[in-house]
Amino acid sequence: MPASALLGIYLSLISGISYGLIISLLAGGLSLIYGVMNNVNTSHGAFYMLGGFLTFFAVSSLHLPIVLSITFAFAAAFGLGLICLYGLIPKRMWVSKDPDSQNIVMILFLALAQVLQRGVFILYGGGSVAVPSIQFGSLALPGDIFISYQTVISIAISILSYVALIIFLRNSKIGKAIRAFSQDRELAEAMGVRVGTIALMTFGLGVSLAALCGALLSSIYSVNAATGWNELVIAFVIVTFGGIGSISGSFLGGLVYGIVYSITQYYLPAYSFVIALVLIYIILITKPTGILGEIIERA
Amino acid sequence: MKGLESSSYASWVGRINPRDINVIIFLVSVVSSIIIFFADKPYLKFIMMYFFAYSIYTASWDLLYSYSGQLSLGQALPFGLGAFFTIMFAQFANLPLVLSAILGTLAAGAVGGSIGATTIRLKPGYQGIAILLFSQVLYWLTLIAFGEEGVSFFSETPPSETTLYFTGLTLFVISMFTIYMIQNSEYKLKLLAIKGDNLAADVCGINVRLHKVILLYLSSLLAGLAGTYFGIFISHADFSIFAVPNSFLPIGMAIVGGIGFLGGPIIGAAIVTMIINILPVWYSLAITYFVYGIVVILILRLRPTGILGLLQRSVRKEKSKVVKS
Repeated sequence: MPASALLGIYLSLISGISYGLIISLLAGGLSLIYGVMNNVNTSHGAFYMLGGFLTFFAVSSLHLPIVLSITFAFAAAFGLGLICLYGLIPKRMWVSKDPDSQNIVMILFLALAQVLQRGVFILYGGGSVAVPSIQFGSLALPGDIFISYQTVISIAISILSYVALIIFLRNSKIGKAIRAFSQDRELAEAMGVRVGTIALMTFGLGVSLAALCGALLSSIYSVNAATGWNELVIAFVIVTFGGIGSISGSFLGGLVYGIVYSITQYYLPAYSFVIALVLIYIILITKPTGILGEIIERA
Repeated sequence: MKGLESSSYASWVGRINPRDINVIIFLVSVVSSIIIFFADKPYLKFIMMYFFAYSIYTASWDLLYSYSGQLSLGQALPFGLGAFFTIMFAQFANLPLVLSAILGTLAAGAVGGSIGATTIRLKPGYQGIAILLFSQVLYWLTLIAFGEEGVSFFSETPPSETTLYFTGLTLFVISMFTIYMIQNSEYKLKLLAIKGDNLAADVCGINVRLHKVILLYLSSLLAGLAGTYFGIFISHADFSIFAVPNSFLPIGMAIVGGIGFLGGPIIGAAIVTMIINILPVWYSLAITYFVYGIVVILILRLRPTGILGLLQRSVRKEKSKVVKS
């Protein structure tokens, strides 16, 4: 294999790992929501888009420093998530295994995504926005390869977020309650865990992870009001590939998707998104359990 | 006099079987379509052609959702394929328009149904997103292949407005009649059993997978037919036809009208087609679709049975008054 091809694959791997780590945050949020609430959040991509716009708003209108702006986007998405769940979805449907109820929730979230996207379009128009980097410049790697500081910092934030999420779920009182609830709802309720609190916390946390992902990626790429549908589909593929309800599965699934996407982008740039999705989908329908998790087939 | 009129109205409404409302809505829509054609209102005629396409499109989604519990979040896939295939057959293969339309519809039904068939094993939520995935894939593929301008249909002898209008009306009548026949057949019971409980239906000897696949193909065929008609009267198709808002269109229309019955998609398509075509005269398209999203949310939260449910309820009320008196 010629040295240039090897270098290309090496570069694709680095770019794939970094992209995969960041995008896995989005999938982690979707997985958390489904794992606990049994509902697929079809507005997840819209919250990703909102993450980018909220950060942009904080930087351009509130004149906050970029790190604070990202924190603002995370917190605002959490609050907005609580408001949306509380105001939009009937409480009896927050956590439900009934397929009819799940379908209605999906349609409501889909309508919410439409409203959020059109709302952002009305406010900001159809143009793309990008938020400034946390740190400009590039880091030199062996073999004359450069990786932007922004990407390195985004990877670090992504890994730190995962660590924080795992610590939160394992050590905090509410985190333990969320885990107990997702494992055995009846028993958890009997022990005094409240469904409403768990659902609100889980949904808030899930959508703020999506917003964080959007905030981090909007400085590397850009976002516009129509952004979010591809990301929803990518998150879905990663979640099912990694295993529904498994945070570590999302982490791993994100890495696999990122690497497949980057390598196909190296060889067939125009079709990378399509090939990566179809390839993983074929794996999924032949192995519906994903790598680490629950079966996604009907009973 | 007024009291007499209202009491005769109540007794007339009281005699209607709530299930017959669907037939009445269908007949009213056909008669209105004919009256609108002869009225001198070109823009209204144009809106009616949208209505024909959208009502078939909405009915195709509703058939799949209400009778097998399969939620498609990517119904734009067969719809868009119908438009693309037909225009490509007519423009690039130089086939006659009618033949192109037939082949386009069949191809859309076959491809849409086959893609949908790969998803039937998935849980409801994931099936919906899996179909959405393919819709997004086609969005990108058509953008790469045809660019932002898409494909257009040019002909030296394009079909006249009258031909297009009455073709739309005929397709509308055929599609609604097909759905009506399904909804009033014994086959419906099998489908409802599958929707209610997959396992129990399987135990009762119903081939669950087969019927789900049949419905997927039928729904794709109807959506493909709607897309074919849409593509012909617009004479154009581009990547945006596969966009998610276009998949949301039949879902919202069915929610507004009421799901599970023939009348729902007709009422929903009529109201939403009016909203999205008339509101942009005063407001931007973004505001129009923003309002549309809110209307869908409000109806799903406050009146989940849609406008058809409201009509059926008022008829039942009048009927019970008549029975009591």
